[in-house]
Amino acid sequence: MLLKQLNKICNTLAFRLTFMYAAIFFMSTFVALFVVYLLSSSIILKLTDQELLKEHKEFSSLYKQNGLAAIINAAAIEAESEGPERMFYRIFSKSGKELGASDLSAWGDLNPNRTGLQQLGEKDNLIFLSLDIPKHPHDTRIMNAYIEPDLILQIGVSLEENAHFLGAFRKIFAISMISVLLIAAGVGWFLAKRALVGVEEVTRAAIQISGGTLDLRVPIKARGNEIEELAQTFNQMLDRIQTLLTEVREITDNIAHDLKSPVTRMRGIAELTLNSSTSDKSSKSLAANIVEDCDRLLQMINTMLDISEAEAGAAKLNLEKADIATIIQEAIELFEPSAEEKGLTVSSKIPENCYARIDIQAFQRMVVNLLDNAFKYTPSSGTITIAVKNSESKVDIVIQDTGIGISQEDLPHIFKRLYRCDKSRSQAGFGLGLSLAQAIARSHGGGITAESLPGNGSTFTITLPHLTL
Amino acid sequence: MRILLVEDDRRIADFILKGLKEAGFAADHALNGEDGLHLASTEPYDAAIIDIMLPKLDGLSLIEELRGQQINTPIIVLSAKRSVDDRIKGLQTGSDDYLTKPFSFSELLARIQALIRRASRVSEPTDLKVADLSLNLISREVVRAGKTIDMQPLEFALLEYLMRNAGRVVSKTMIMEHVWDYNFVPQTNVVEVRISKLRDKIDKDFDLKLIHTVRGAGYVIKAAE
Repeated sequence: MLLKQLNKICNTLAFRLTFMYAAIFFMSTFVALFVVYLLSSSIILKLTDQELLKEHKEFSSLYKQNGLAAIINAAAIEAESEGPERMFYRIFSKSGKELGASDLSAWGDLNPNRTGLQQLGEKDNLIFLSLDIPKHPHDTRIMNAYIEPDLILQIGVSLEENAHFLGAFRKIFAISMISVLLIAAGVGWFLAKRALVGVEEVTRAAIQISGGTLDLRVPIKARGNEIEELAQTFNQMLDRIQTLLTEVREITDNIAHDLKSPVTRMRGIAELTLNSSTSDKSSKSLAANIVEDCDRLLQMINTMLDISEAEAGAAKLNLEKADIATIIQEAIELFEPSAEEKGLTVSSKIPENCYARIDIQAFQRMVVNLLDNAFKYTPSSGTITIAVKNSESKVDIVIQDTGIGISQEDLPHIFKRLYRCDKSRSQAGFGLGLSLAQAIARSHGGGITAESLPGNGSTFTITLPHLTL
Repeated sequence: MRILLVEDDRRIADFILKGLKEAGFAADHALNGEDGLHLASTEPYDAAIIDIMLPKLDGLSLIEELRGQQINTPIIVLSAKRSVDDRIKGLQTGSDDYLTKPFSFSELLARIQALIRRASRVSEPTDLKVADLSLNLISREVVRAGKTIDMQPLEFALLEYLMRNAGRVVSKTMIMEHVWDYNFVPQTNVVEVRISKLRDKIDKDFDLKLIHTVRGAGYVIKAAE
């Protein structure tokens, strides 16, 4: 669950943008600081080498003036003043024999070969090398150089200061990298969010619109051309959809409306024939057929218009405070004799009172439509259960039957206008009852859900919000 | 009884006029609002049936004009819109009624008769009688041939409605509307089953059947053909 959520967050564009932003920022800062680090460490090493070269020069001129004993003496004094654990001096003959040295007690093993003496060939006048001398806590920079063609001066200097400096540098480096990472992530997140805010608005609008409010539009603000273009295109698409839907609905409504007059006339004439004392039996039977079919047709036309009206929303509702428990109880009583005749058991679990703001006639229609369906599709000896559950925020009206049920393929379509499942084609009806019920529930700010197990029955749940009384 | 019909659809007017004549009314017809106003203000009518959508002068203006002239003929308004206009509601003075298209003629007839009865202030009978069946509206007793019949409240309401319209066919729509206060007819055979229960109580033990089914139209209570 947590993993799934994490995965979901990682897949968002905002997260990926932030991640990329932070990564690029981090990498470039790292490279820059690393180059600076390398340069600094090589520069301070060069400074050390220059110091050593200066020593070499001094020793060379001292040797020329005062000879070997003077420089051996000077080595001891120089090392003593610098600190014998920080610096050492040694003087070798060309063959590698040690002629003199400063205090070497802090330096441990200082094998002349290890310290690069033999690398000092004929060609090179002097060489530098860095060594990690055992027992000595820091790296050591060593210079081997000829003073005279047969005299070699070796100076070792501890790189302690350099190490301190580079250590501090690394610490600053690490702290800067962490800060950069945090700032980059923060700024990245902020920028990504800001860039995506428009997209999110479009998405929110799309969600609300797919929930049924086709009137909604994405607000157009100045927030970057791409997003604005997206919002505008989206709004244009909605306009088109709405126009098309309105047109389709208007055409259907107009057809339904235009059919009313001729059907009314036809029905009226047939009704007269039916009631007339001068009509003979066969014309009466013909008239009765016409009246029955006209009634069916009119019922269908009226239901279509009712659905359109209910879909037009709450504006057309005649809302009043009413006890829906009583209304449902009355509807059940209306059906009871029919249930008895068909051999159905009707059981109900309805609280004493349950008030809501409803259009009473529309509400009756919605409940009776669902009861009609339950009756139609439940064979004798079945059970129909009606329950009203009143909670803080909503009222659930559950109508459950033990009828033939609805197949999984049909279930998503049953609320569509004129949709009829294969099994229901043998039954009377137009496929309008459920869509009307749904439209009524929606116009009240609620909805209807259906669950079904083919062969075991169906459960329809009307959910209505507690409108402020 | 004389009725004025103002309706521009000739064929609808035709069957209404025919039906009114068969029901024993004298009826005049105007095809537009102006003619209707002229007839209504010069001739005495017991009731008028006026369509809302009329050429020359629309139904509502016609009614307003009549009321302005202190002509208080009870009026039934015919409307093609199912949602009732606020102006119609405002017009309703107790002597008026409205009916939305499409309507059945029996419904129109029942409403005209109810309007005329109310307007002529005939005192409400306390007893309704059809042949040897009587129903007392105060004691709520139903007696047939001297035998009291037990009735549940809904059965009583249904019988009362049939007997108030004795001799006239009432449709299922009318029964649902007047007895149950539903403005539609459920698909389930609720009315049929109620009627058959009522028959069991009223007609079963008697040779003379009173409750008749008129196929395609509805039900009627009368003392046989």
